[in-house]
Amino acid sequence: MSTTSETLGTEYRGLKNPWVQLVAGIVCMAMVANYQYGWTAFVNPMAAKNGWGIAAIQVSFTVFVLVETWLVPFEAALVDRYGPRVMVMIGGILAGLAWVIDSSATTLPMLYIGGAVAGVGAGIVYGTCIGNALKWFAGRRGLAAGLTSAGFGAGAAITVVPLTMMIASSGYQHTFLFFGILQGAIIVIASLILITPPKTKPVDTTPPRVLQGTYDHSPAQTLRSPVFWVMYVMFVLVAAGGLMAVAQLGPIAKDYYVDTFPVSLLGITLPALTFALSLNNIMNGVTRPLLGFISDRAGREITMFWAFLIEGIGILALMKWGTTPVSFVILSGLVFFAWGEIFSIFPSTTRDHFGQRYATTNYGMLYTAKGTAALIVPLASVITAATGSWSAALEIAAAMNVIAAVMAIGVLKPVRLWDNKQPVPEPVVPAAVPAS
Amino acid sequence: MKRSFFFAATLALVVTASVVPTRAADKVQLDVLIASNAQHAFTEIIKDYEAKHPSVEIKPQFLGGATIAKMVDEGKPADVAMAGSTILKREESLLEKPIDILQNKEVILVPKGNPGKVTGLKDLANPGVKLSLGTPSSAVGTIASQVIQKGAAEWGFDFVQNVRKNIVVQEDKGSDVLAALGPKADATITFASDVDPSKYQTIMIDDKYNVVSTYQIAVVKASKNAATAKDFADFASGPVGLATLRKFNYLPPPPK
Repeated sequence: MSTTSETLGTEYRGLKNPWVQLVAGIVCMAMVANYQYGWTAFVNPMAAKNGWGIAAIQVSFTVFVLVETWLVPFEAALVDRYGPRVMVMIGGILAGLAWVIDSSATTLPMLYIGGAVAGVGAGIVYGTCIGNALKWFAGRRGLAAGLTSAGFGAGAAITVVPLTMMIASSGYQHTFLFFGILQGAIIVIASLILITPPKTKPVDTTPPRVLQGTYDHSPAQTLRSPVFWVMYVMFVLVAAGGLMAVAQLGPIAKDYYVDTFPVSLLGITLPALTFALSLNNIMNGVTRPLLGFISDRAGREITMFWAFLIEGIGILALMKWGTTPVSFVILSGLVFFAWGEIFSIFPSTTRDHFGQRYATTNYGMLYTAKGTAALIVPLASVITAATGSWSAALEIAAAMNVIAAVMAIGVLKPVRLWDNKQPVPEPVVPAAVPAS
Repeated sequence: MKRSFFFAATLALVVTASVVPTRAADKVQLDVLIASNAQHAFTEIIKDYEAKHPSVEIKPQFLGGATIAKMVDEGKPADVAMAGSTILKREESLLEKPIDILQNKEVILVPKGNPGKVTGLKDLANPGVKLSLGTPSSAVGTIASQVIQKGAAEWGFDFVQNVRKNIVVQEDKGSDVLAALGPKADATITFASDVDPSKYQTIMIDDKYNVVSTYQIAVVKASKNAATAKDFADFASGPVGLATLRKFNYLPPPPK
C-alpha cells in the first residue's frame, strides 16, 4: 500500500504525515552525528591548546560511547511513556549543552562530564528517532529505520568540512560553542514536529512476507522471550564480526603491500587503504536503507541470511583474494555493504515481533548488543597477538557471520513462529500515555 | 697524638660520608626515549655527553616510534624523545619545538658475493631470490613496503606479488632481518644506517622509489630537568652529535 499524500487519509496529513515524521527524525539524527564522527577533528587542537595527552582526551569519547549505548533502554522507556517530542527536545538541549561544556573545559574531568552529557543527549535522540520511524511505518519499517540510521552518517558527511574549517579559522572552542548551539537548536526545532502516530489504523499494511508478532510485548515480556535473546546473540555476532574485520583492514592492506598503492575507480584515485576506509562510510550509509527496503519486500530472516552469509564469505574472500589493490578495495566494500544493514533490519524485526507500544524501549534494549559487541572486539587483538597473524581473528569473524546467517533461518524464524503460537498473556503493564 | 689522630680520622669519615652521598644525589638523571634504529649511534652520543658532563646520568630506552609516542602521551617519565617526525608531530602539544636531527633512506643489502645476483630494486622480484624483510607492522617493514609499492607503480602490481613470493624471512626487529642475510636470504631492503661494508654489499635504490624519513629530537614539556634535557638535545643535534650520526651512515637533517 502506498503512502503518498494522495492516498493518505485526513488523519495522516500535516505533521501526521509519516514522511514528515521520518524527515524530522533524519534531521535530528544528522545533528547528533558529529558527536561520534566529528569528534576526531577536535582532538589535536585540544591537545595543543591544553597540553593534554591524546589518550587522556579520548577517554571523553569512550565515556560518550558507553553512555550513548548503555543508557538507551532507560531513555527509550521514557520515550514510550512521554512521547518523542519532549524527549528529543531534552536530548537536543543536552547535546547542545555538552559541546558548550566542552568549549569552556579547562580540565579533563570537565571534558569527561561533557562527554557523558553528550552521550545522554545523543542516546535519547538516536533511540527516539529510530523508535518513532518504526512506529510510523508498518509496510516500510526496514526502509524507515534504514533511512533514519543512515542520517546519522550523512550528517557528519555534510558538516565535517565546515566544522574542520571553523576549527582552523576560529579555534576549537568557538567551533564547539557554535556547532553545539546550532545542532542543539535544530534538534529542538525539529522535535516540535515529532509525534507518536494515531492509534486509529496503520498508515500502510504490513507486507505478507514479513512475519509479525501477535501482541505488544512490554519490556519485561520482551526480556523473557527467547526471540529477543536469539536476536541479541545474532546482533552481537554480526556487529562484533564486522568491527573485527574493520579493525584488521589496515594490517591486511599492509601485509598484502597494497596500502599505499594508488587505486582508480569511478574516476577517483586514492591509496587503496584510504579508498577502502572511505568506501566503508559510503557502503554503511547505502546498505541501511537499501537492505531495509529489501527486507520489507522479501522478509527479515531471509534478508538477514543472505546479508550475513555474504558478509562471512566477503571476509574470507578478502583474506584470500584481496591481494591486489583493486580486489582489496572491492572486497572490503562488499564486507562493509553486508554489515551496515544490522542497524535497519534488527530494529524493524524488533518492532515486527514485539509490537508497537514499546517499540522504542524494546529496540533500546536490543541496541545494547552493539555495546556488548564492542567489548568482544579487543579479543581480536589478543588472538592476533597470540597467533602472530590477523587470519585467525578474521576466520572467527567470518564464522560469526555464517553462524548468524544460519541462525536467521534455522533458529530465529522457527522460534518466532513458535512464540506466536504461545497464548497471549494478560496485560500487566499500564497503557502508555498518548503523546502529542 | 693518638687522640688527635682519632679525632682527625673521625672528622674525615664524617666529612666523606656526608659529601659522597650528596654528590650522588646531585647527579641529574635524564630519561631519554630513542628510536630503536638509532641505538648504536645514540649509545655513542650519550657516552660522549656523559664524559663531558659528569654530573649527568642518562638512562636511554631504545623503543619503536609508536611506543615512544604512547609513553609521552601517557606522561611516563621522559625528558627527551627522539623519533620519526610523523611520530613526534602526533605529540607536539606535549613537546618543546622538535629539532631535525637526521634523515634515513633505504638501501638494498646483499651478502658478500651477492648470491642472488641482485643489481637493483626490480631484481627483487626475480624467481629464486630469497628475501628477508621486516614485518609490515615494524618500521623497517613499513618503509620497505612503501618502496616496493612505489616500484609497482612503474612495473605493475605483479612486481609486488612476485616480491612477496620471494620472502623467506619476516622479522619485527631490524637486527633479526639482517641476521638472516647470508644464511637464509639473498637480499633485504633496510635503512642506509645499517650499511656495514665488512658484512654486506650495498645496492642503492633510485630516489624515485626511495622513502626518506626525517627524525627529530625534542624536550618533553613535562621534564623536571628541562635545562639539562635541552642541553642534551642541543648536543645531540650539534656538531658532535651530527658527526657521530654521519659515522653511522645517517644522512644529515634537511636544510632549514
